Amino acid sequence: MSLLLQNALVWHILLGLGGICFFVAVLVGLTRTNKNQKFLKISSLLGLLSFVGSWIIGGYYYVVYYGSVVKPIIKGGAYPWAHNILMESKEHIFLFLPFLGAIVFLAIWLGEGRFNKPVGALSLLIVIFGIAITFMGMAVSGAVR
Amino acid sequence: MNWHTFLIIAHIIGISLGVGGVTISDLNFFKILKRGKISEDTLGLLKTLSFAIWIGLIILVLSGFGFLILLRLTRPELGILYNPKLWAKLTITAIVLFNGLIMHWKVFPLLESSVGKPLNSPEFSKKAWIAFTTGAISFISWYSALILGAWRTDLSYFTIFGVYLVLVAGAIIVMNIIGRYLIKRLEKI
Repeated sequence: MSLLLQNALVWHILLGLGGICFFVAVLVGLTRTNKNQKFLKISSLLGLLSFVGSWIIGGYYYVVYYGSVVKPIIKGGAYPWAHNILMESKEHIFLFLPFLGAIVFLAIWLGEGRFNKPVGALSLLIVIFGIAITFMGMAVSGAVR
Repeated sequence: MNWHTFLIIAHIIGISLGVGGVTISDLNFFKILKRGKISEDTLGLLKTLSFAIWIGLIILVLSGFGFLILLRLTRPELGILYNPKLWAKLTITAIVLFNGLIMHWKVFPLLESSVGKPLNSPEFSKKAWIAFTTGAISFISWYSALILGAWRTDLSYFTIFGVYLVLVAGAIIVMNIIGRYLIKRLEKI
């Protein structure tokens, strides 16, 4: 794997984790009695940017390297389900995660505290999906033997 | 300093903040119950500790994944990503996260509404079990993560997680008994 692809993989993971952390921050911010709108706005913005960054870099890694090199190894190895089930699920969840992030971002920036409950529910969904696809990514990566 | 050393230091800082924060938080919470009321200062201290625990969790997660990336890229033959202990630690970390969110959602508002009031009120007594339960889960989870990080073991995922669940159940029972006893004691004073 080239240095560029190694960096792409590292940043895809770090930005994805960063996105989850920022949406956790949104959730924590929403539980406060006196909600700090500035904190919520910045956290949702950084969360969205992290997911978009992870999306673009992960997409590049997938198209350039995963599909042609990693996928055949996994499918021919002892854990073909890692691709057939986990990677397929991960791809689809990952596709709409930035859109969910964008909805939270817009609701916080334009709603000025009017949509706290749905924003909280959506942020929780983002965190749950984010953790799930992180675990799926690990299982897929571990299947390359 | 190489990446491995940097990540070890970060991981230790993360776990120290978490274990230290949760220990002081739980001790302070029992102190509050013994005293029978919560002041603005004590609530402020609990919030600061909570912030430190969140920071610890973020550092722990990022450094932990840093380790995984480093080992995956430099020593893939280790097969670290299918290690049962790693998955047990990840599950416990996820529990810490969701437990923390429940604390912020339920426990902090309860404490905020109780500032300056006697804690043997029916309102506090009714909801106190959430604080005892989340406190117990937090305490056992952080210490489990610490022990699993240091312990070289080949135990299976289900053995590790089974022991963890037994410990969590025990801690929830003990914390609720002690907490209830302290609230009842307040009624007699």
